[in-house]
Amino acid sequence: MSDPLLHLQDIVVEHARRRILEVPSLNVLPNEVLAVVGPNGAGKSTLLRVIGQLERPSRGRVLFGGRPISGNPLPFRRRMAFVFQEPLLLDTSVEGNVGSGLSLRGVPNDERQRRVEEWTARFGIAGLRRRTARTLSGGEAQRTSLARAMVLEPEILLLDEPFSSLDAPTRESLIDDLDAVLTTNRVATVFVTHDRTEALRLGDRIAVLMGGTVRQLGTAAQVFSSPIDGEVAAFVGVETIIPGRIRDASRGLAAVAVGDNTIEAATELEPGADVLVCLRPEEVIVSGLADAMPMSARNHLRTIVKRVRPAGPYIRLELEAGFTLVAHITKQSLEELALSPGSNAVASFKATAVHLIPHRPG
Amino acid sequence: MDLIWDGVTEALRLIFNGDSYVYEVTFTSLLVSGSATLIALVLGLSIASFLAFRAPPGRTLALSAFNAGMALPPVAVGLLVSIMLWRTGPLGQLHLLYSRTAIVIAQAVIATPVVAALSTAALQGLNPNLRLQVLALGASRWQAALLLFREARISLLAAAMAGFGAAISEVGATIMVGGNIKGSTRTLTSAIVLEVGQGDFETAIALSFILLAVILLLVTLFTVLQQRRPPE
Amino acid sequence: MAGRLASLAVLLTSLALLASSCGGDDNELILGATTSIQDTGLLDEIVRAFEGVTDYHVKPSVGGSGEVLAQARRGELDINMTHSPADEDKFIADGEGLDKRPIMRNFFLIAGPEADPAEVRDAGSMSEAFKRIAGTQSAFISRGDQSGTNIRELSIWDQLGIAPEGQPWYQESSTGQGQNLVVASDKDAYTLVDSSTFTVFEKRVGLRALLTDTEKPNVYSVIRVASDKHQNVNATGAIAFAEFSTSPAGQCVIGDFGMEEYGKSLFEPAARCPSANVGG
Repeated sequence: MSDPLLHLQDIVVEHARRRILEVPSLNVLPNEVLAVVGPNGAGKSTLLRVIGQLERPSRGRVLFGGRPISGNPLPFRRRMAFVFQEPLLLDTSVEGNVGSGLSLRGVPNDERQRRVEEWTARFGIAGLRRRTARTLSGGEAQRTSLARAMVLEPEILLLDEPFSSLDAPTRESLIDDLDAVLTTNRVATVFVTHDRTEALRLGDRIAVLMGGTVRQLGTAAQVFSSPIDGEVAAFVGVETIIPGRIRDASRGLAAVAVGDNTIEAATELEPGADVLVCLRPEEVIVSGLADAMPMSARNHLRTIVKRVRPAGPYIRLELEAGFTLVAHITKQSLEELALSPGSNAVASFKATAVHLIPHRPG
Repeated sequence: MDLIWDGVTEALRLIFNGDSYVYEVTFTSLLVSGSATLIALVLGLSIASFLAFRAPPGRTLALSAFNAGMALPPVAVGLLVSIMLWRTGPLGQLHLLYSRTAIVIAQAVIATPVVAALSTAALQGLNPNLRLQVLALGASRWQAALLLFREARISLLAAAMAGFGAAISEVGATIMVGGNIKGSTRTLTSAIVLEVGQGDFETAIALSFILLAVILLLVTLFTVLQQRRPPE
Repeated sequence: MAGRLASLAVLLTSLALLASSCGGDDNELILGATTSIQDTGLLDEIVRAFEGVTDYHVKPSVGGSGEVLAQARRGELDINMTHSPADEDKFIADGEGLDKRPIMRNFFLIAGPEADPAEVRDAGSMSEAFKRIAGTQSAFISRGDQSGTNIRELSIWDQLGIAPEGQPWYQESSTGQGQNLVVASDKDAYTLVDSSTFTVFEKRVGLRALLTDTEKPNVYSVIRVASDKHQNVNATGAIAFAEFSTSPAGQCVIGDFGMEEYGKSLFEPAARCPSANVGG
């Protein structure tokens, strides 16, 4: 792996004696998109402001290209670009906005013109160049803001929830366009979001930030399928998290006692270990009592439907199996199975879908 | 009522006959109040930037002080500046009393809290993240301030107008520190007071109309500037 | 940023100082003058004439005689033009001033409504007139500001043993000589006024000159402020002004003043000016 482009060292941020952020070490690698996910108030924006030299940490330092940032932050700020949740456009034309960072750097007119033309085209706003920023829609404004950042050809791109205030269709098309831009123009990016699906789509690595600390850092697959603890699990979309104990284990397959049930799970952990059993809702297959059960699944639990509630494109079922188990099924399945609160159902899932987290019962 | 009508006719006569006295006091008013407004703008905007962007401890207290300062009695300011500038006062050696500079100082003291209070409100009205965005775009502190002033220009021009209005319409402190000297410190307002004292109400009213016309002209200019579409 | 703005402020202030170019010089002369001299317009005339023949820049500080003398006692003035003899003599006796030279005079008169309810017109003397006003409780407006006029008025009440303050018919306007006349006119009241101011305002107010005090003229004098007591005082400038105002040239400025507009001198110069047509 190459040397990090940016390194955070022993960073602590305190506001009014309250610790907001504590990051002993964090690297941003060249050309990677590091997605930082976490709930609101986790310290994500603070982390980004510290990186972007917009906030001085109470302790610690930031190394850029191996050299610590000290003194006047302006030269370092000028090697980065920042996009906020709100477009924060200046009261001027679209091209005036896109060119504003270049003007501040004293880039000559003709070069500025050329680069503004290129990047407005890349973000599909070439036709709006002469429009006043005030008259733009939310999506157009955020495209302008992204073009204003990318036109600077930054060494690090910092994105602070850039899609959160957009409606769903606008968001989807903008994420696609940004994805395309970042694929062609590789630039080290720190992308802060509270939306795990956005993180999954754009992030090469994912850092889960909770309570001001990085709880887990890894590839998308690592973080989403093997969350390091219950909170991370819950945040990355594991909806069933229940304590259990490994009864038997052999050749990577364990029998885990969960209440009165036994669940089979793929794991390297030893018998006797206390664990949290994690199960993503999309991994659970629901069928009626009389139906044929899916053969590939090792676990089949008899359950009673407790709640039925729509969740985006899915239906979210809460099933009672001695513990509460959450499953996502399609609307079509719900109608075919004729499930309603009180009905019986069988929940099936593979042993490899179960993720066990070592856990000391508190 | 006849007096007012006569005053208007007299005002027009004075303006179009190129009465040198009227032009002289008008020029003095503009020079003195213009300089005072300029100083008030520099000081007021510095104070406003500091209060709005740095959010120092005690900001609310400072803001209350400046808001109260908008109602600063000009006569009290005049007296204070006079005492400072008296021969026996701390700045007496500068020999500034009864000079245009003394009026500039007094009017600047009167206009600065107005500009500071209104500008602080204007800058606080901006999205607080806009300053971060501007800095993140690579602006130096100086560039950031100018860009943000530009964003708040409508309110800031209103602050400038209020400051200029406070300066040019002021008379108590102006006479106290300026002395109403013909050809030097006689402004439109102090000339009006003098004409009233001399019982020449017609000229006083004429000068009042000229003062109003000057203010109207300048404020219109400011307002046109304020309402102009931002340049591409 | 704050630093740069501060330096800009300093720069602008210095520019403003330069623009007005009234910085300190030895040629500045601060002249204390009473409102009647300014309100009649004589002050501008006499200053212009003086500046025309010397290099001094005159900076007038205008107020009632009391205020002017008080400023002078602080050493803020170089020379005074006042008309309050008793105060002036005390000022000199206290060592605050010297070299008193009378430069001109006018007369106090009682102005009042045409109807003259107190019959001041044929009172014969000032004290008799004041007695009649008090006796008929006719409205009277006082300057109430320790000016020369006010002090003269109070001394007359004092001689009569009348204490008018607080009486319903007696009011204090606390304004300059001209404004006071306007107030009295508005209220159809009697007032004491100097003849010069009355001449200027005569056309604008509905009052008549009912009784002129020819026995005790209202004398204006210049007094230099003692430079041995106040080190900042511009003694040479003060001497130059005293010399000029008592010289034939200065006296003619006074004597000529008002001829054009009113057909008579507003003030009677202390020494005769050949061209002046002195009126009462």
